[in-house]
Amino acid sequence: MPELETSNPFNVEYPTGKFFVGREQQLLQLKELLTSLASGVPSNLYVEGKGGEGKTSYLDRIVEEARKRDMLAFRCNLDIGKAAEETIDTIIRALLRELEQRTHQEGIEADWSSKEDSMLFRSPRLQGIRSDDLALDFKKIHGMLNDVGIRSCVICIDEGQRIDSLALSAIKNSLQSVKLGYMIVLSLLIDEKNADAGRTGRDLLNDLAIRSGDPGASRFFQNASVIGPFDTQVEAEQCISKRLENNKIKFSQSAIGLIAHIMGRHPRKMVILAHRAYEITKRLGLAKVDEEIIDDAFRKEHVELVKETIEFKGTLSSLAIKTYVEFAKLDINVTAMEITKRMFPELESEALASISTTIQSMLDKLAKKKFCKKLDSGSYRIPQPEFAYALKLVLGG
Amino acid sequence: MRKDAELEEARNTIALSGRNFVSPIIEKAAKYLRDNRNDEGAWGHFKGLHLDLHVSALSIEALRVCNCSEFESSAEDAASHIKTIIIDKIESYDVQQLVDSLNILTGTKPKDSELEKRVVARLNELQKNTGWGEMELSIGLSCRVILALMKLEDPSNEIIKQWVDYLVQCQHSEDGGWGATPDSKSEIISTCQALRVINRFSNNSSTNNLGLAINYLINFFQTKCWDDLEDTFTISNVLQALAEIEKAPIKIVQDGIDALYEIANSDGGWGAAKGEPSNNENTALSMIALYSAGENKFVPARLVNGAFNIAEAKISQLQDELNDFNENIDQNTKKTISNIIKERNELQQKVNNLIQERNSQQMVVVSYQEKLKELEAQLRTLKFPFEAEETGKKLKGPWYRNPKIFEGIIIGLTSLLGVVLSFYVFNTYVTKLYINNNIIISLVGLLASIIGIYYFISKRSEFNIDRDQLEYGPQRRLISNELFKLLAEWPPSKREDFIFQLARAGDTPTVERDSYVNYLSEKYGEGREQRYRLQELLFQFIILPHSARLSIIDQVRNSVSVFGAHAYRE
Repeated sequence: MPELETSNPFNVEYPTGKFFVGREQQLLQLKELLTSLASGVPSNLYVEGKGGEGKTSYLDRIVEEARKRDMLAFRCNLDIGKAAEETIDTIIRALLRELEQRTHQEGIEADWSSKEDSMLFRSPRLQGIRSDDLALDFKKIHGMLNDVGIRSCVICIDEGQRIDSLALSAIKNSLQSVKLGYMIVLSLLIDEKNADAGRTGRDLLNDLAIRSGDPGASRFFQNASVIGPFDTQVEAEQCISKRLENNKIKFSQSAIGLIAHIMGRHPRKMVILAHRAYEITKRLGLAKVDEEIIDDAFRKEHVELVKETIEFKGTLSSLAIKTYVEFAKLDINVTAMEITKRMFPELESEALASISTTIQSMLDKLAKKKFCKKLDSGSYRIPQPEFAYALKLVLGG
Repeated sequence: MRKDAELEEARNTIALSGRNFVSPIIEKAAKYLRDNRNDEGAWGHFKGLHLDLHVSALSIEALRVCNCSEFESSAEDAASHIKTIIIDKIESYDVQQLVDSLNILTGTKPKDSELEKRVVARLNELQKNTGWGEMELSIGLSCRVILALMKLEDPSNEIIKQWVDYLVQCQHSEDGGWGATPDSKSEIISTCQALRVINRFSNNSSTNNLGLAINYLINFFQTKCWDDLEDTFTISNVLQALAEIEKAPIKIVQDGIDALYEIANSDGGWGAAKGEPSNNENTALSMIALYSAGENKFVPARLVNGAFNIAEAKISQLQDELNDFNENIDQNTKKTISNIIKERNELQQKVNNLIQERNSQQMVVVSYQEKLKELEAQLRTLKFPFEAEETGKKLKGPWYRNPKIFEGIIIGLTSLLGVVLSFYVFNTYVTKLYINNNIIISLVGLLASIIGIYYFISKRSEFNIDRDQLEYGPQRRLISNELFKLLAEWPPSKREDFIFQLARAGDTPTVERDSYVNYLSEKYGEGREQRYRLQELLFQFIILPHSARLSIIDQVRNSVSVFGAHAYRE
C-alpha cells in the first residue's frame, strides 16, 4: 500500500493542470477545434474569465490535449506594458524552445535571439514588425515542424489582455497569409471593472483591434470559451477531492460541499479556503476536515470581512438582518421586490409593494457598505461569494 | 450643602409630581401596534405576519410603558401566548432570542420565576468568558443581556459586575466610545448600549467612564445632527440611551425627540427611515425611546408654576448674594490694600535698617583696611633693633647687643679678678722678693687676665648667631602668639588644614600673595573681625623669609598641640 501524502495539496500560488476537472462544454469545443486544426482548417480561440477562475489551467489542458494529438503546443505568458516587438519575440522564442525540445535540435532559439545575425529568420534582422517577414518566419518554423512530422501547432497565450495591439495585428496578418496549421488561443482576464460594466472578451478584442487600426484582428478569433466558476457542484467538489487523493488528511463530503458553496464554486478561492482548512486540521492533529473547521478557516481567511460584518450587525434592526440573510442565500441578481416576496410570501401584492420600498432602502444601505452592488437594472448582486457567506455566517447566527 | 439639599428637594418635588399620561402621539403609535397584531395576538415585522420574537418583545415593552390598561392588556395577552412558545423552544434559542424572552417574562404578571431561571440558566450556558456573542464577543448583545438581567427581581450581581468591569476596560480612552467588539473602533449604537449599562450600574468608580461616554455622544452631535443617523433604529437607540442619562445635554435630547416626531408616519407608526412604510419593530422602538425621554409624562401647570416659583426664588436669593458681594467688595478691597501698604512700609523700613547696618559695617571694614595699611607701612619701615652686617657667615653689630655679653663680662671679670690677685700676690711677696710658687700662680693669673681681656677686646664684635633670630624675633613671636590665640579655638582638623596652607604660603608667587592671603582669611576666619585679624597676621607672615615662616609654623604647631587642644576642649 503506497504511503499517504502528508503535505498540503492545495497550492494557492499557481494552477496545477493535473487536477483539472469539469469544463465539459469547453473541452467539447476544444476537441472540435483541434480536430479541425488537424484536418488543416485552423481556427483561433479566445478564453475569457475573471481572475482565479481557471483560465490558465484550461490553457494547460489545451496544451495537454494538443500534445496527445501529436501537435506542437505550449503556453507562454505575456508581461505587462511590453511593446509589439517584445511581444512577438516572447511568443516566437517560446515556440522555438518547444520546437527544439520536440525535434531535439539546438540553436534555433539562439539564432532568433542573435537578431541581425540570424541565419534562419527574417524578422529579428529588422527593426519593427513586418507581417510579410513574420509570415515567412512562421512558414520556416512550420517547415521545420513538417520535417519531424508535426503538422499543427497550438500557441496558447496567457494574460492575453496585455498583448500589444500591433503585435496582435501582425500575428493575425502573418498567419492569415501563410494559411498553415497554427492555432492561437488567447486568454483574456475580465477584471472587476470590466465585469461590472458588462464587458466581455469580445469587447476587449474589439478595443485592441480598433487601437491597432485593424478591425479584422478581433474577427481573427472566431471562437470564444468562457471560463467561470465550475458549472456544477459536482465539478467543484471534484476540484477539492481530486487533490486529496492519497492524502492522509481527508475532507468530509459535507465539508467539500460547503467549500464549494461558500466560495461560489470559484476554483482559486476554493483552493485557498481548503488550504487554510487543511492547515488548521494538520495543526490540530486531526485526520478529517469537517464543516466546523471550514467555518473556522473562513473566519481566519477573511478576518477583516467577518469583523466588518459583526460591526455592521450592531447597527441593524432585526428586519434589516432578516433581509440581508435572505438576500445572502440567493446566488442570483435580485430586486427588492423579489426578496420581499421571499421573505413574506403570505403578503398581498399591495402590501408587498409597500414593504419592498423598505427592503430596497435596506439593500441600498448594504450596497453603501460595499457588501453588494446595485446594478443598472435596479437589481442587487453580491459580487463576491465570500461576502454572501460572511453575511449568512454572522447575521444568520 | 444647604442649597444643594434644597435644590434636590425641589427637583424631587417636580419629578414626583409628574404623572404618567398617554401622550397623543404615543397613544396613536400604541393603537398602531395593537391593530397590527397577527392572528396569534403577537407581532411580526408587518401587519398580519407570523410571529417574530424580537418584534413581539419590543412591541410588548412599548405597550407596557404606555401605562394604559387598554394597551397593557394587549401586551399581556401576547406575552402569555409567547410564554408557551418560549417554554417549548427555549433550548434552541440564541442569545438575542433569550434576551427577548427575558424581557417579555420580567414584565409578565403573575411572574413565572421558574421559567425566568431557565432562561437565565441558558444565558449563562451561552456566556463566553464575561460576555456574549455569536462569533466574537459582542458589546451590544452583551449589554442587552445585562440590561435584561437587571430587570430581574434578584439578578446575579456578580455577572453584572463582571461585565461592567470588563466594559470599563473595553472603553476607548481616546474618544470614550465602544465598538461592536472589544477591539473594534467606536460606533454609536454599541456606545449607547454600554452607556445604559454603566448608567444603571453607576458607582463611584464608573463615574469617569460615564462622563467619557457622554462626551463621546456630545462630540458626535457637534459634528453631526440627528438626521445624519438616517434610520429610525439608530435614532431610537441613541435617544433612549441619552434620555436615561441625567447629565445628558437636554438640547440634544429635545432635538432627538423632534427628529423622531419628524419621521413618524401619519398612521401612527414609524418606518425604517423617513418616508418608509411603518413597521412594528421601528414603531415599538420609537415608542420606547420617546417614553424614556419623558414624552409620556404629564406635569400639571400648577406644579410647573410651583417649580418656576422655586427656581425664581433661588435666582432672587442668588441675586441678593451677588449684590451683597458687590457692595462688600470695595470695603474688603480697601482694607486689604491698606494692609498691603502697611506691610510694604514695614518692609521698606527693614530694608533701610539693613542698608544702614551694611554701611556701618563697610566703615568698619574701611577702618580695618586703613589699620592694616598702617601696620603694613609700619612693618615696612620697622627698624630692627639689631642691624647686623653680613660678613661671611658671621654677623657684626654693637657689642651691647651681643647675646654673649654676659659670657664676655664673666670672662672679663674673671680676668680682672686674676689681675687683682696677681697684684695682691706681687705686692705681698714680690716686694719681699721671694720667688716661690705663689709668684708663679700670680704670673699665671696675670697671664690669664691678659688673655681674657685680649679675647674680649679682639672678639667683641663677632657673633655666631642666627640671623633670623636676630632680625625677626619680635615679629615672629608676635605672629606666633597671635596665631596661637586664633588657632587654639579651632578644631584640630581645621588647625591642621590651616597650618598646611600656611606651609604652602611661601610658595605662592609674590604677585598672588595678596589674593592668597585673602583666600585664607576668607576661608578660615570666623566672623568679620577674625577674618581681618587673620588677614593682618598673614600679610605680616607671608613677607617673612622662609626659615622665619617655618619657625613660626613649628612654634604654632607645637604650641597648639600642647595648649590648643586643651583650650579647644575647654
